[in-house]
Amino acid sequence: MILGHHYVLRRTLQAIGVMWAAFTATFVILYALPGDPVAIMLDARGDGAIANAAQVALLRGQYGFDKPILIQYSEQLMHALRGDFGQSIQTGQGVASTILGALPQTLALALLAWLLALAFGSTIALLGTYPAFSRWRDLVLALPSLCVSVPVFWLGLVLLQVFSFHWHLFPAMGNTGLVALILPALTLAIPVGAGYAQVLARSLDAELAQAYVQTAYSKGASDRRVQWRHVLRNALLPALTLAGMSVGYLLGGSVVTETVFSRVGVGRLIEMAVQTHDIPMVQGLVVLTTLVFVGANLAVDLLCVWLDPRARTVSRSLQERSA
Amino acid sequence: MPAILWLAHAQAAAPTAGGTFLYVQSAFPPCLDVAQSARQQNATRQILDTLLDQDKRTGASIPWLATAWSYEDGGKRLVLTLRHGVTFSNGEPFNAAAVKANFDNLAALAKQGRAGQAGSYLSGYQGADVIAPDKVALRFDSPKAGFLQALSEKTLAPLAPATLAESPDKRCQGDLIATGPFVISQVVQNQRIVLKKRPDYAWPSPNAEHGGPAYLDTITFQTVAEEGVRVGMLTSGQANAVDDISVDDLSQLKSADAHILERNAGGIGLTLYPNLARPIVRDVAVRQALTLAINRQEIIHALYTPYERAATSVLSSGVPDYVDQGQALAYRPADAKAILDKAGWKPGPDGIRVKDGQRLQLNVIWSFAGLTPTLELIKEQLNQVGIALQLNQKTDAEIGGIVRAGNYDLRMSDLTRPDPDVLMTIFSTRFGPGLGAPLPTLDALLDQQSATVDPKARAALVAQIQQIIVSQGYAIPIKESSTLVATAKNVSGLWLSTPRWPVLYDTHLDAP
Repeated sequence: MILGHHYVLRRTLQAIGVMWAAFTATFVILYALPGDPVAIMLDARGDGAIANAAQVALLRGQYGFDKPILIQYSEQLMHALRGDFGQSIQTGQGVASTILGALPQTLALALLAWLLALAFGSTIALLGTYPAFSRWRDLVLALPSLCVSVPVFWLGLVLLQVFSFHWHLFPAMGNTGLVALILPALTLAIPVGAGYAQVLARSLDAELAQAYVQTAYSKGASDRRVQWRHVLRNALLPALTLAGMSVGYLLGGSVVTETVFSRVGVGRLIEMAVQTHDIPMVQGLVVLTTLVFVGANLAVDLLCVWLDPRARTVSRSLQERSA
Repeated sequence: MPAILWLAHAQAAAPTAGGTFLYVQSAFPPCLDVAQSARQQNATRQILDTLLDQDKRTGASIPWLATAWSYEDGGKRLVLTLRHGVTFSNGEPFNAAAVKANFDNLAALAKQGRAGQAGSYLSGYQGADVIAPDKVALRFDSPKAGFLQALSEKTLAPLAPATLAESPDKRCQGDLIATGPFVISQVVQNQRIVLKKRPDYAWPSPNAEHGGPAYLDTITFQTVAEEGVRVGMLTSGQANAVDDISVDDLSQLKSADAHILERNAGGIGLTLYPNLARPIVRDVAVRQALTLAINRQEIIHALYTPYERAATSVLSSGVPDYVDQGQALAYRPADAKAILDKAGWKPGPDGIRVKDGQRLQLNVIWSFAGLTPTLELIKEQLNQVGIALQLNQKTDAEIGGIVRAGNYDLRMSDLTRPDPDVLMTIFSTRFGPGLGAPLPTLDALLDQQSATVDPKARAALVAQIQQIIVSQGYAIPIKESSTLVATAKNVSGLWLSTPRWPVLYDTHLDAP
């Protein structure tokens, strides 16, 4: 066993701590914000007519919002531990079932976007640093900065104008099938991929300047072998860490992408729940997104240790020392 | 070839039944049960019939599921005769017992605080008596004049007894069975509502243009939040109708041969309301100056579509008993200045007026993002007469709380309901926060008009109320609200009903 149980256990405990902190912070923020979820629900349904204070008070009691705040917190935490996040105040539907219903849509979007981003990012980085392309280097390496700076929102609208409204190649909205997934995934993939390209290109440059590259060449290794076997493997580490962190960006980006492309998904749920201060829904979504984020970073950390022998020895010697 | 000509003519005359229709709207309804929520109910409205309807030209009450009505006991008892042969889409009969169950359910829902609008319609409801299977009497503790109009609101549309047995939350999610020409077949929260035609439908409103079942087989109401995407979907042929369009979209839509449908939304249009708990706006001179210093024509011309109209009363012109107050709402900046001078508000060093060391500066709150340019223009106009306006845009989540707490000078909003009773929702402290201070005279008049069943006497009271509200500056009306829907060129028979909602019962698609 390369990685000790201690390491995994410690990281898992950390992850639980992060989730508890996120849950508690959300609770504090939601209760500190001006605007009461029950009143917001009543006003939204009134369509211009504002509910009076007596109506609000009556309904707050039915939702249990008149209990002392610490009681509310401990009740919600106990329920959350059992996986029960209650019902959305806005729709009356179960929080867990609503999220689980939307999750596959967002996962499909994020996964396709992530694959496209990896392909796009590594292609740009390799082209930019490949000796044969040195003439185009500056042009190719300017591309990522451009793509990173483009707002997702605007990019989505431009893709829609061109590929849906003008050329009728893709539907403008909806969750039906792979065809409807392509434009939103592309929208999300371009800035994420550009980020990978920047990091990978920089670390490829740095690795190419290392002494071991000269050693490899002097030992008679081919361009391709040096590039792929030696340099890329080392240059991948920072890009991999970034790929793990970009899970958060993909989730955040899905808020905008799902709105522009009118898709059902976790991003849309987040937007709606935050706008209406739908406390049970926000709590459920925060716990879910924290879980995804923490899980992805844990996976990347373990992968890095496995890829990089130095990290492996460090972690082993640390364990021996602690033992 | 006369035979072919005749065939072509016949096709043009008789609409082809069938087809699927995509209606793209800007938001998903927060709750699908109209009794619990008035917002974004384009879809649910298609499945609901009401006891009465409002004539689409005159606004007068006309029969629908109730074929006749009469007031008894000085207006405290309303006897309705029900149409025969009507069924709910689950097969349950529509009869007096079902109508009674519906009103009892609404009254109970209102008691729980879950049916604000229905609650205000049913205030004073004492119960219903089943006289015969086709006759039911509704009892109130005082006469209810506005109630006939309320019976044509989808808020009070009858639902099947099986639906009433469901929880309010279930109904919100779309478990709704009614008597209308369409039935709900699928609901995807925050995305779409799919309706299917009811093949045995045979009791349309007299407002309808045909009899029997609806033409369309399926209608999907799709939510697309982005305005540019909605318009692009219509012009690229992906949608049949889109709503919530603005002046910037008109040329693009027209160049794609789209039809633009307009309906002046009956009710109270875009209006500034003063918070009478605040000292500066409690001064009637300030409110009158605000009324006269706003150039409504300039606002319409600069920011709105040619379909829209400046306000000429607190009620919009489509509401029965509306009285033109255009003279009192004319742009008269010189008069505004004179009123302020007389009240002791003198121009200060920066042009903003001052009285007893206090600057004439007011904050205005609103939550609808589209209103920002309107308020910026109003700010500029008020500046000309020495009033400073501070713009404080709030989110939908914040605005209700701020109004209830009274932390504002002016607020801007609109409200749709085509009956003078709409005034009670805003000005009476019984149904909402009111204007922040009791207005006993106005409250008494509002109650009195609501209880006056004689149409002429009620009209006279409503005229007096409008005159008081405008002359006292209890409301500073800006423009009438209107609804714009764009339909693709192959769409016929889509019309907007009296308040503002689309009716798709007569809608059909022309053969390509």
